[in-house]
Amino acid sequence: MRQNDLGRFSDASFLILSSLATGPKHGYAMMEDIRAFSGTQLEPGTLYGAITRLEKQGWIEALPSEERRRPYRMTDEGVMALRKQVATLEQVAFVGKNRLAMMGGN
Amino acid sequence: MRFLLKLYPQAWRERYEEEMLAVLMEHKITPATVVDLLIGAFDAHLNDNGFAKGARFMRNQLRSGLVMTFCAFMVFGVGWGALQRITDPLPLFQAVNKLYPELGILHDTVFIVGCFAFLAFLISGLPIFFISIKRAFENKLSSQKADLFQQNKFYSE
Repeated sequence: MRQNDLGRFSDASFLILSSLATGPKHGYAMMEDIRAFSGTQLEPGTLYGAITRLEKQGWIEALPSEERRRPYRMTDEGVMALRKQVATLEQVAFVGKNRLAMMGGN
Repeated sequence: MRFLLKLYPQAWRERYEEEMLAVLMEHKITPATVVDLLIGAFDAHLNDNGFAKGARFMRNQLRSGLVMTFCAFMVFGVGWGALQRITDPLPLFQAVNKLYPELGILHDTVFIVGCFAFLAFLISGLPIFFISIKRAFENKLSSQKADLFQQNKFYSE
C-alpha cells in the first residue's frame, strides 16, 4: 500500500473510502455522509485533493457523470486498502484501550 | 467561486472543475472554504506533472514565468525608486537618521539590494534581449529573401 503518497490527505482519504464503502457517491453526497458519520466537515478543496490522489492510486474510480455531478466508487484495490487501514486503526485502538485500562488500574 | 478554480492547473480544471462547481453550489461558502481552495490550488500545482505534458507546455510555462519575473521586477523598481526619494529634504533625513540610525541602515540595505537586483536583471536579461533582436533581424532577412525569391519567380514566368 502506498499510504505515504496520500500525504496530508491520508485522513480525508480514509473518510472518503469509508463513505464509498456503502456505494457510489458524488462529491457533495460524500461530504454530507462524512459529516454525518464522523462529524468532520470536509471542505471542497480538501475533498478534491484527496479524490485526485485516490484516483491516481487506483483506489476509487469515476463513473459516468449525472448532469454536472460525477459519482465515484471504490475499486477492489480500494477495498483492500480500506480493510488494511481499518485493521491498523483497530490495532491502535486496542492498544490504546489496554493502556488506558492499565492507567486506570494504577 | 469560479474565479478561485481558475487558480488550479489547466489539466486539473478540465477533469474536475465542473463537478467541483456543482459541489460548491450546494456547499455553504465560508472563509475556511476560500482558504481551503487556495491551499488546494497550490497543492494541485505542486503535484502537477508538467514534464508529462511535453516540451511545448514546459516552454510556455517558462516563458510565462520569465514574463512574470520581469513584471515583478518592474513593480519592485517603481517602489525602490520611490523609496529613494525618502532622503528629500536631505537635512531633515539626516536629522531623523541621527535620532533613529536604523532608518538609515534600512534605507542603505534597500538601496544595495536594489542595485544587486538591477545588476542581476541586466546580466540575465541582456542575453535574452540580444537573442530576441538577433532572431527578429534574422526573421526579417529571411522573409525579405523569400519575397525576393517569389518576385524573381513571378517575373521569370
